[in-house]
Amino acid sequence: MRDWKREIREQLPALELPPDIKEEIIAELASHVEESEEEREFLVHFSGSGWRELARKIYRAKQGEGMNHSKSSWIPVFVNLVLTSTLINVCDRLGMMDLRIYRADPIPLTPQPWLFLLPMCGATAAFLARRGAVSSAARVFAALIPCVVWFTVPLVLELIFLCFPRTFVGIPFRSLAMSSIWLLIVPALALLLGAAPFLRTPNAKPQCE
Amino acid sequence: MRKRIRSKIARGSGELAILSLLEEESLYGFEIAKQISERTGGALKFTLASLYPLLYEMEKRGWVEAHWQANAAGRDRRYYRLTPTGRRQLAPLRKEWRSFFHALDALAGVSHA
Repeated sequence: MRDWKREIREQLPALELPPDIKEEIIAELASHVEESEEEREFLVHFSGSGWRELARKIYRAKQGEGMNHSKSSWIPVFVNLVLTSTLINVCDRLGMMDLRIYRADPIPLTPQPWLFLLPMCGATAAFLARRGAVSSAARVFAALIPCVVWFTVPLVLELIFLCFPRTFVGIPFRSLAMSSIWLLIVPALALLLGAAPFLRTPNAKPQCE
Repeated sequence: MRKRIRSKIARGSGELAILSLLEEESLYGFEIAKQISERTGGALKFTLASLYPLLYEMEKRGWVEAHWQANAAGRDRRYYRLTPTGRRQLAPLRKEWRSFFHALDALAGVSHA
Protein backbone atom coordinates (compact mmCIF):
# COMPACT_ATOMS: atom_id res chain seq x y z
CA MET A 1 0.00 0.00 0.00
CA ARG A 2 1.31 3.42 -0.94
CA ASP A 3 2.33 5.80 1.80
CA TRP A 4 0.10 8.73 0.85
CA LYS A 5 1.09 10.77 3.86
CA ARG A 6 4.71 10.70 2.82
CA GLU A 7 3.87 11.49 -0.81
CA ILE A 8 1.60 14.41 0.09
CA ARG A 9 4.16 15.71 2.61
CA GLU A 10 6.80 15.69 -0.12
CA GLN A 11 4.49 17.63 -2.43
CA LEU A 12 3.61 20.30 0.11
CA PRO A 13 6.95 21.73 1.29
CA ALA A 14 5.67 25.22 0.54
CA LEU A 15 2.87 24.89 3.08
CA GLU A 16 4.42 26.91 5.87
CA LEU A 17 2.13 26.26 8.79
CA PRO A 18 2.97 25.15 12.34
CA PRO A 19 4.08 21.48 12.23
CA ASP A 20 1.10 20.11 14.15
CA ILE A 21 -1.42 21.85 11.87
CA LYS A 22 0.48 20.82 8.73
CA GLU A 23 0.63 17.19 9.84
CA GLU A 24 -3.08 17.19 10.58
CA ILE A 25 -3.79 18.51 7.07
CA ILE A 26 -1.49 15.89 5.52
CA ALA A 27 -3.17 13.12 7.52
CA GLU A 28 -6.61 14.33 6.42
CA LEU A 29 -5.67 14.62 2.73
CA ALA A 30 -3.98 11.20 2.84
CA SER A 31 -7.06 9.59 4.38
CA HIS A 32 -9.17 11.10 1.59
CA VAL A 33 -6.86 9.75 -1.12
CA GLU A 34 -6.77 6.28 0.49
CA GLU A 35 -10.55 6.03 0.14
CA SER A 36 -10.95 7.51 -3.31
CA GLU A 37 -9.84 5.65 -6.42
CA GLU A 38 -10.86 8.67 -8.49
CA GLU A 39 -8.72 10.99 -6.39
CA ARG A 40 -5.71 8.67 -6.70
CA GLU A 41 -6.00 8.83 -10.49
CA PHE A 42 -6.40 12.59 -10.27
CA LEU A 43 -3.24 12.95 -8.18
CA VAL A 44 -1.16 10.98 -10.67
CA HIS A 45 -1.68 13.85 -13.12
CA PHE A 46 -1.46 16.60 -10.50
CA SER A 47 1.46 18.84 -11.48
CA GLY A 48 3.95 20.73 -9.33
CA SER A 49 2.08 23.96 -9.94
CA GLY A 50 -1.15 22.23 -8.90
CA TRP A 51 0.39 21.28 -5.55
CA ARG A 52 1.76 24.78 -5.09
CA GLU A 53 -1.68 26.22 -5.79
CA LEU A 54 -3.24 23.80 -3.30
CA ALA A 55 -0.63 24.75 -0.67
CA ARG A 56 -1.37 28.44 -1.29
CA LYS A 57 -5.14 27.93 -0.97
CA ILE A 58 -4.83 25.88 2.21
CA TYR A 59 -2.37 28.40 3.67
CA ARG A 60 -4.77 31.25 2.98
CA ALA A 61 -7.73 29.33 4.37
CA LYS A 62 -5.86 28.42 7.55
CA GLN A 63 -4.34 31.87 7.89
CA GLY A 64 -7.64 33.68 7.72
CA GLU A 65 -8.13 37.15 6.38
CA GLY A 66 -5.56 39.91 6.10
CA MET A 67 -5.90 41.24 9.64
CA ASN A 68 -4.71 38.05 11.31
CA HIS A 69 -1.86 37.75 8.86
CA SER A 70 -0.56 41.24 9.48
CA LYS A 71 -0.82 40.66 13.24
CA SER A 72 1.21 37.48 12.89
CA SER A 73 3.83 39.35 10.89
CA TRP A 74 4.15 42.51 12.94
CA ILE A 75 3.91 41.26 16.52
CA PRO A 76 7.31 39.43 16.34
CA VAL A 77 8.89 42.55 14.80
CA PHE A 78 7.50 44.73 17.58
CA VAL A 79 8.50 42.27 20.32
CA ASN A 80 12.03 42.04 18.91
CA LEU A 81 12.42 45.82 18.84
CA VAL A 82 11.17 46.14 22.42
CA LEU A 83 13.44 43.31 23.62
CA THR A 84 16.58 44.62 21.92
CA SER A 85 15.90 48.22 23.00
CA THR A 86 15.48 47.06 26.60
CA LEU A 87 18.66 45.01 26.30
CA ILE A 88 20.63 47.97 24.98
CA ASN A 89 19.30 50.19 27.74
CA VAL A 90 20.17 47.71 30.48
CA CYS A 91 23.62 47.01 29.02
CA ASP A 92 24.27 50.75 28.70
CA ARG A 93 23.30 51.37 32.33
CA LEU A 94 25.52 48.50 33.47
CA GLY A 95 28.40 49.88 31.42
CA MET A 96 28.45 46.83 29.15
CA MET A 97 27.98 48.80 25.97
CA ASP A 98 30.18 51.19 24.07
CA LEU A 99 28.00 53.86 22.52
CA ARG A 100 30.90 55.65 20.84
CA ILE A 101 29.45 54.42 17.58
CA TYR A 102 27.27 57.52 17.52
CA ARG A 103 30.20 59.81 18.14
CA ALA A 104 32.94 61.05 15.90
CA ASP A 105 35.75 58.90 17.28
CA PRO A 106 36.42 55.42 15.88
CA ILE A 107 34.73 52.39 17.36
CA PRO A 108 36.94 49.83 19.04
CA LEU A 109 36.97 46.46 17.31
CA THR A 110 36.41 44.47 20.47
CA PRO A 111 33.55 42.08 21.14
CA GLN A 112 30.79 43.79 23.06
CA PRO A 113 28.99 41.82 25.78
CA TRP A 114 25.51 42.87 24.64
CA LEU A 115 26.07 41.12 21.32
CA PHE A 116 26.12 37.78 23.11
CA LEU A 117 22.55 38.33 24.28
CA LEU A 118 21.22 39.13 20.81
CA PRO A 119 20.67 35.49 19.68
CA MET A 120 18.02 35.24 22.38
CA CYS A 121 16.13 38.19 20.83
CA GLY A 122 16.45 36.75 17.32
CA ALA A 123 15.21 33.38 18.57
CA THR A 124 12.19 34.95 20.29
CA ALA A 125 11.21 36.88 17.16
CA ALA A 126 11.59 33.90 14.83
CA PHE A 127 9.76 31.64 17.27
CA LEU A 128 6.80 34.03 17.48
CA ALA A 129 6.79 34.46 13.71
CA ARG A 130 6.77 30.70 13.18
CA ARG A 131 3.89 30.34 15.63
CA GLY A 132 2.04 32.92 13.56
CA ALA A 133 2.65 30.71 10.51
CA VAL A 134 4.37 33.43 8.50
CA SER A 135 6.84 32.66 5.72
CA SER A 136 10.56 32.03 6.26
CA ALA A 137 11.39 35.41 4.71
CA ALA A 138 9.09 37.15 7.20
CA ARG A 139 10.76 35.24 10.05
CA VAL A 140 14.19 36.45 8.90
CA PHE A 141 12.85 39.99 8.65
CA ALA A 142 11.37 39.78 12.18
CA ALA A 143 14.71 38.55 13.52
CA LEU A 144 16.85 41.16 11.73
CA ILE A 145 14.72 44.25 12.18
CA PRO A 146 16.72 45.71 15.14
CA CYS A 147 19.99 45.98 13.23
CA VAL A 148 18.17 47.54 10.27
CA VAL A 149 16.85 50.21 12.64
CA TRP A 150 20.19 50.65 14.42
CA PHE A 151 22.11 51.16 11.22
CA THR A 152 19.49 53.49 9.77
CA VAL A 153 19.84 55.89 12.73
CA PRO A 154 23.55 56.86 12.19
CA LEU A 155 22.93 56.86 8.45
CA VAL A 156 20.07 59.35 8.77
CA LEU A 157 22.09 61.37 11.31
CA GLU A 158 24.98 61.51 8.87
CA LEU A 159 22.70 62.76 6.11
CA ILE A 160 21.34 65.48 8.42
CA PHE A 161 24.90 66.46 9.43
CA LEU A 162 25.92 66.67 5.79
CA CYS A 163 23.01 68.96 5.07
CA PHE A 164 23.99 71.35 7.88
CA PRO A 165 27.82 71.34 7.92
CA ARG A 166 28.02 74.68 9.77
CA THR A 167 25.81 73.54 12.63
CA PHE A 168 26.89 69.91 13.08
CA VAL A 169 30.10 67.99 12.94
CA GLY A 170 29.49 64.95 10.75
CA ILE A 171 30.33 61.38 11.71
CA PRO A 172 33.64 60.52 10.02
CA PHE A 173 33.17 58.04 7.19
CA ARG A 174 35.56 55.65 8.85
CA SER A 175 33.33 55.61 11.91
CA LEU A 176 30.30 55.08 9.73
CA ALA A 177 31.96 52.19 7.97
CA MET A 178 32.95 50.68 11.30
CA SER A 179 29.44 51.15 12.63
CA SER A 180 28.14 49.11 9.69
CA ILE A 181 30.18 46.25 11.16
CA TRP A 182 29.03 46.73 14.74
CA LEU A 183 25.47 47.80 14.10
CA LEU A 184 24.61 45.82 11.01
CA ILE A 185 26.79 42.84 10.20
CA VAL A 186 27.76 41.50 13.63
CA PRO A 187 24.29 41.99 15.23
CA ALA A 188 22.67 40.50 12.13
CA LEU A 189 24.82 37.40 12.49
CA ALA A 190 24.02 37.17 16.20
CA LEU A 191 20.28 37.59 15.61
CA LEU A 192 20.31 35.05 12.77
CA LEU A 193 22.19 32.59 14.92
CA GLY A 194 19.35 32.66 17.44
CA ALA A 195 16.66 32.61 14.78
CA ALA A 196 18.16 29.74 12.77
CA PRO A 197 16.36 26.87 14.57
CA PHE A 198 13.01 28.53 13.87
CA LEU A 199 13.51 29.38 10.19
CA ARG A 200 12.63 25.92 8.97
CA THR A 201 9.29 24.23 9.56
CA PRO A 202 10.26 20.78 10.81
CA ASN A 203 8.18 17.73 10.04
CA ALA A 204 6.58 16.63 13.28
CA LYS A 205 5.42 13.08 13.89
CA PRO A 206 1.88 12.63 12.57
CA GLN A 207 -0.66 12.56 15.35
CA CYS A 208 -3.44 10.85 13.48
CA GLU A 209 -3.57 7.80 11.27
CA MET B 1 -36.11 44.82 -6.35
CA ARG B 2 -34.30 41.56 -5.98
CA LYS B 3 -31.24 41.36 -3.85
CA ARG B 4 -27.96 41.62 -5.71
CA ILE B 5 -26.45 38.21 -6.24
CA ARG B 6 -22.86 37.99 -5.14
CA SER B 7 -20.29 37.17 -7.73
CA LYS B 8 -18.51 34.14 -6.37
CA ILE B 9 -21.10 31.68 -7.58
CA ALA B 10 -19.04 28.54 -7.56
CA ARG B 11 -17.69 29.18 -4.11
CA GLY B 12 -21.13 30.03 -2.79
CA SER B 13 -22.64 26.86 -4.22
CA GLY B 14 -19.95 24.82 -2.49
CA GLU B 15 -20.62 26.50 0.83
CA LEU B 16 -24.36 25.88 0.55
CA ALA B 17 -23.87 22.27 -0.49
CA ILE B 18 -21.54 21.53 2.43
CA LEU B 19 -23.63 23.35 5.03
CA SER B 20 -26.81 21.59 3.82
CA LEU B 21 -25.18 18.17 4.11
CA LEU B 22 -23.72 18.88 7.53
CA GLU B 23 -27.11 20.10 8.72
CA GLU B 24 -28.25 16.48 8.45
CA GLU B 25 -25.23 14.74 10.00
CA SER B 26 -21.51 15.00 10.74
CA LEU B 27 -19.38 13.83 7.84
CA TYR B 28 -15.72 13.64 6.94
CA GLY B 29 -14.17 15.10 3.78
CA PHE B 30 -14.43 12.06 1.52
CA GLU B 31 -18.06 11.46 2.53
CA ILE B 32 -18.91 15.10 1.87
CA ALA B 33 -17.44 14.92 -1.65
CA LYS B 34 -19.09 11.56 -2.32
CA GLN B 35 -22.54 12.62 -1.13
CA ILE B 36 -22.44 15.89 -3.06
CA SER B 37 -21.54 14.01 -6.23
CA GLU B 38 -24.15 11.29 -5.70
CA ARG B 39 -27.00 13.56 -4.69
CA THR B 40 -26.44 15.97 -7.58
CA GLY B 41 -26.06 13.16 -10.12
CA GLY B 42 -22.45 14.16 -10.66
CA ALA B 43 -23.33 17.75 -11.58
CA LEU B 44 -21.40 19.08 -8.58
CA LYS B 45 -18.06 17.48 -7.92
CA PHE B 46 -15.38 18.30 -5.41
CA THR B 47 -11.78 17.25 -5.72
CA LEU B 48 -9.25 17.19 -2.94
CA ALA B 49 -7.91 20.51 -4.22
CA SER B 50 -11.27 22.26 -4.17
CA LEU B 51 -12.89 20.69 -1.10
CA TYR B 52 -10.33 21.12 1.66
CA PRO B 53 -9.40 24.79 1.19
CA LEU B 54 -13.14 25.53 1.33
CA LEU B 55 -13.67 23.36 4.42
CA TYR B 56 -10.71 24.98 6.19
CA GLU B 57 -12.00 28.42 5.38
CA MET B 58 -15.45 27.55 6.69
CA GLU B 59 -13.81 26.15 9.80
CA LYS B 60 -11.83 29.37 10.26
CA ARG B 61 -15.05 31.38 9.98
CA GLY B 62 -16.59 29.19 12.64
CA TRP B 63 -19.30 27.76 10.38
CA VAL B 64 -18.12 24.19 10.90
CA GLU B 65 -15.95 22.49 13.48
CA ALA B 66 -13.90 19.33 13.12
CA HIS B 67 -12.80 16.48 15.34
CA TRP B 68 -11.01 13.19 14.76
CA GLN B 69 -13.15 10.11 15.18
CA ALA B 70 -13.02 6.51 13.96
CA ASN B 71 -15.30 5.77 11.01
CA ALA B 72 -17.31 2.56 10.49
CA ALA B 73 -14.15 0.81 9.25
CA GLY B 74 -12.31 1.82 12.43
CA ARG B 75 -10.04 4.33 10.70
CA ASP B 76 -9.56 7.80 12.13
CA ARG B 77 -11.21 10.48 10.05
CA ARG B 78 -11.68 14.19 10.59
CA TYR B 79 -15.43 14.70 10.95
CA TYR B 80 -17.04 18.07 10.32
CA ARG B 81 -20.18 19.24 12.02
CA LEU B 82 -22.24 22.37 11.72
CA THR B 83 -21.85 25.04 14.41
CA PRO B 84 -24.67 27.37 15.50
CA THR B 85 -22.95 30.10 13.45
CA GLY B 86 -22.96 27.84 10.39
CA ARG B 87 -26.61 27.02 10.95
CA ARG B 88 -27.42 30.73 10.95
CA GLN B 89 -25.64 31.08 7.59
CA LEU B 90 -27.86 28.51 5.92
CA ALA B 91 -31.09 30.49 5.70
CA PRO B 92 -29.56 33.60 4.02
CA LEU B 93 -27.51 31.39 1.68
CA ARG B 94 -30.60 29.46 0.61
CA LYS B 95 -32.48 32.71 0.12
CA GLU B 96 -29.63 34.09 -1.96
CA TRP B 97 -29.56 31.05 -4.22
CA ARG B 98 -33.34 31.09 -4.62
CA SER B 99 -33.06 34.74 -5.72
CA PHE B 100 -30.30 33.76 -8.11
CA PHE B 101 -32.39 31.07 -9.79
CA HIS B 102 -35.45 33.33 -9.92
CA ALA B 103 -33.30 35.97 -11.59
CA LEU B 104 -31.95 33.47 -14.12
CA ASP B 105 -35.45 32.14 -14.70
CA ALA B 106 -36.79 35.62 -15.41
CA LEU B 107 -33.95 36.23 -17.83
CA ALA B 108 -33.54 32.92 -19.58
CA GLY B 109 -36.42 30.72 -18.48
CA VAL B 110 -34.02 28.22 -17.02
CA SER B 111 -36.67 26.43 -14.96
CA HIS B 112 -38.61 25.62 -18.16
CA ALA B 113 -35.57 24.57 -20.16
